[in-house]
Amino acid sequence: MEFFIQILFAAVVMGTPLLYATLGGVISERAGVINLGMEGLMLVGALVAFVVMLNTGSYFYAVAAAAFASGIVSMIHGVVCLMLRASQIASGLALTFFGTGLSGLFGDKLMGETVEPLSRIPIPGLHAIPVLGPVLFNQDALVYFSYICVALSWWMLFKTRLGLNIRSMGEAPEVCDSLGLSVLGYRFFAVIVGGMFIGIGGAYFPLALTPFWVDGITAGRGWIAVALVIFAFWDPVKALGGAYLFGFALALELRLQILGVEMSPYFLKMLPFVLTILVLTLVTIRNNRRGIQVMPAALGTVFFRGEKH
Amino acid sequence: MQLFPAPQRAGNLLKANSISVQIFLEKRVNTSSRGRVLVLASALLLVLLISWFFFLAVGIEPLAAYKIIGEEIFLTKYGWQDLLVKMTPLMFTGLAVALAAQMRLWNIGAEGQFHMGTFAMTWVALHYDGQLPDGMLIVIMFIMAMIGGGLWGSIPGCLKARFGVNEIITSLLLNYVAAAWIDHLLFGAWRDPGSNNFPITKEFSEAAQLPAFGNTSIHAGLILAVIFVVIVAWILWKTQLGFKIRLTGDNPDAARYAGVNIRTLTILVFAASGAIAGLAGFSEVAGIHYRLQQNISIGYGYTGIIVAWLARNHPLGIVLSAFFMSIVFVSAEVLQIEYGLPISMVYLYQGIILFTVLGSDIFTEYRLRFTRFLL
Amino acid sequence: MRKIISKIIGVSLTLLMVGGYAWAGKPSVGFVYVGPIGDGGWTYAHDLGRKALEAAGHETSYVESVPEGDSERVIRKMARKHDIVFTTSFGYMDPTLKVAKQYPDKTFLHCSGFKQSKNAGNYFGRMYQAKYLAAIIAGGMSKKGRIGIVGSQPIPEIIRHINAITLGAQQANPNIEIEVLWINSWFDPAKESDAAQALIDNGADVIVTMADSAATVQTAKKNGVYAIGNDTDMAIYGKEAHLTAAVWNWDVYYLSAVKAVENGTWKSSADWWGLDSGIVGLTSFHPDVPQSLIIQMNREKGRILSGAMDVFDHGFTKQDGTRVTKALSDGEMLGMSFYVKGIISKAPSS
Repeated sequence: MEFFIQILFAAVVMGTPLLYATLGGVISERAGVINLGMEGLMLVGALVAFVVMLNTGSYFYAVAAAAFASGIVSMIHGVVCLMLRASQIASGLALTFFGTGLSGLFGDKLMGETVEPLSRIPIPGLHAIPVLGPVLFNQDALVYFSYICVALSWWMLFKTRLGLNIRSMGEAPEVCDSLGLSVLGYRFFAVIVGGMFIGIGGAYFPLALTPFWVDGITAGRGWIAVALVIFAFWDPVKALGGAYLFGFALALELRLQILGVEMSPYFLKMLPFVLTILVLTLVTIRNNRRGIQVMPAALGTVFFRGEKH
Repeated sequence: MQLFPAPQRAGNLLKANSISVQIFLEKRVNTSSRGRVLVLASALLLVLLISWFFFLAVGIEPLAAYKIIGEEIFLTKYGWQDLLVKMTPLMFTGLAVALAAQMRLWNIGAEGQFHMGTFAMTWVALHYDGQLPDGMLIVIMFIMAMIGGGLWGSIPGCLKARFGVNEIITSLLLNYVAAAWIDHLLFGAWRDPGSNNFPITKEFSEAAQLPAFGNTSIHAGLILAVIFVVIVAWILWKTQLGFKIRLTGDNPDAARYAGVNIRTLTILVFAASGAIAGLAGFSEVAGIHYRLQQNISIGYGYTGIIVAWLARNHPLGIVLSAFFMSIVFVSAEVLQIEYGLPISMVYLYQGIILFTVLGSDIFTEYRLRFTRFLL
Repeated sequence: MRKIISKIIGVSLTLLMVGGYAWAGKPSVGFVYVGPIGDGGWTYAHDLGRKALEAAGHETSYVESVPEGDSERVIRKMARKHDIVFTTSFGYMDPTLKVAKQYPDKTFLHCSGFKQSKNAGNYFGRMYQAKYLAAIIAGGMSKKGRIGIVGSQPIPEIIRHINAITLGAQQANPNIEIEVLWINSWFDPAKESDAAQALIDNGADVIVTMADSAATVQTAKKNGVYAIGNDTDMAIYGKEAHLTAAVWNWDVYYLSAVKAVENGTWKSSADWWGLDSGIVGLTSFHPDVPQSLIIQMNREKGRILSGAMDVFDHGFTKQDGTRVTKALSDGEMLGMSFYVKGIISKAPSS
């Protein structure tokens, strides 16, 4: 039982940066903008969080600065693919280069520096619940904040006018435009807010997981988050499940070795992706029958007033 | 496409002494090839300009840097050799992405198809070495690389055609699967005991190697790439099949009306795209490494997306844009060696250049129009 | 006739060029790195060696994060610019030899491989000796009798180190249990950290890492257990936990090899330098380490230094129970893929 709880606990810890990044991707893609530059943005967030933490000692400032910096950098993506109408895919790749370079450049002098990682704060009452308590309610502040972010972004996307408009941008920008909504404005908003979440995902590395700086500290998590957005079917709540499932896979890979289970780690690495494809296909088939569209219809398309795609 | 597009407002009003200038982005009615070349040239100028500031910012004398980069790349035999070697896989992957894009299909999976191509050809090279007549082995490896990449590419094609699953997503996800599969083999069955059990396969025999030109590293893969560019261009513009592909890309409804079987065509095009990406793997492994090991693709599949996009998915343009991207990558190494720039600065530089080129490309299709009027 | 003339010209040109080096002074040196210098581990350690060459008056340059797919081109560029090129990843082996053939008048040195040619040698250090010594400390400091090892990817080098650690720890505590977790990645600090956590949760109270980052030291510190650093001194990341680190001192080798080339005494060989050369060593010890343990470690160190013994030369038992009595050859050590007895985890299937 203890062992089981340890795996679940690790799944949440490993899943949290993925969750933030996935939330960011969900918001951005709901508005119709794919961001393949997540890895670069996470690195920018991680670096800024670490530097600010080092200099101010405040977790709050560190997280805020990470979100701010990633928001700014994601604006480049917005300018290039929304205003200058370049391919979102290509621009996202450029963003990966840019963010990786930027973080490495400014992280140059940080070797050997460390910060105090976030401590666990058991939530009174809740942490005593069997299994769920120690797994979900004996975590650090950024994990709790991620619960709030999930709820908030779900509420924003599905219960508010703003969210409806954002989602409409991803479904039928032409219609929105003819209704007098600013496609550019909403999409820009979504890209920036998405970028901020992705930056917080990066910030989780130096603030909680690995409290120091090293080049490429996120080790490809941004790319996993790109896949997770799809796995979550562009839904913040499912993003929570998806991120923890991927976190679980990461934690399980190590603990299976402890149990002495012989299994190729590479199959374990493939599994989430194969699963995503299968589930996506099944859901698409089901939705085809019901006539529901699961993916934002205008995802990845360039919107230009007066043009038909 | 509209014949008489209405001018679009893209910017704010710029006020100057009660005379306002309004900036419009206007879609060019037809992009002439001369205009396109002009725009590409101005993009290059813009790149030079941006890198000028970049060099100044990092304390490098820009003119001297241009001179060194120019000399290293264009005035030495090795510079050309490096460019041509680097271009080869980019031409394949760029072509793969472009072919699919002609039908408005996004193949983000060239990276995975590259890997599956190397997997299939390496399997032949490891198991049938010495059992086939001279010259047959490399031909079968070539075919297997196409089959490997093609089958892998046909998965997103089938899912798209049969169930309407978005191909951007499936092709992207399959990249991760392919990479893990190659690692599984390298750390398992294909690990070469003769190489101290390192995660590399045994070296291919000479029968499984592509010939190189003289004492250079330029190999027959380059010729193959050029041939395939021509073949794809020919198919697209000179055959019924190509017409169908382009028609479906331009206007699926018209294509359907004209009796094109879009489903079959989707699978076919995706498989062909994957096969070409698989050849990128073939040319790298059989032309340079002569064995399978980790990190043989350094994101060629992803870079291929940029290559295709810069070429506006035109096969012949692929040659130019692959050349351009090679310059970006090779010049980065020159900067590192000559100026001791850290890799992070190089990434930053590449990111900025890509953003510049991507951003400036808008002017091939749109032009700025300034209208003055009194307030 | 023409052939002979051209040969004579060629030889005299070569002579001129060789002479040219002597006049030009110190040979210049290029490095090709597999990771970024900022990795704080493998590449960082090599770069410290490069800096030592700079300090000795050699012109050097480097290229970081060179993937295997790009390496041939970068190595060739380095060869054109420099007299000596060091390539520091196993995957660069074939490209290094290929370029060496194209530049017969330059010297190439490849780290951790096994192939040589006339102007291309290879080099490595017997890190397993330093790991063995560090493990004596680890074994003595483990109260629960259990050491956790975080492995990167299961290649012979790492497996050799794990075995050396096991044999070393058994010197201090014959009943010590060694548990190994592979993260199956060359670089992933978050996963390294989680692996360390899993090992600690499962009862280990000393963590030894084979990965580059300081994540395991940090995790050990957080959990109040000890850790042994890898490749470079990681005490700055958590001196409360850091017992010692088995580190590379590549400057020793680089200075010597470059000197040999400069003097014209260099010959292509496979250099596998040991503890006695100083290429590997231990950093200063944690204050908790008792003097008796250091004395015990020093005794073993003295035996290795004097050549009285090596880690795998005086018999040991494999995990499957078979007894190895004769000393392992360098080749056998370089291709090692079995675990020794004392490791409770299953060996990675190969």
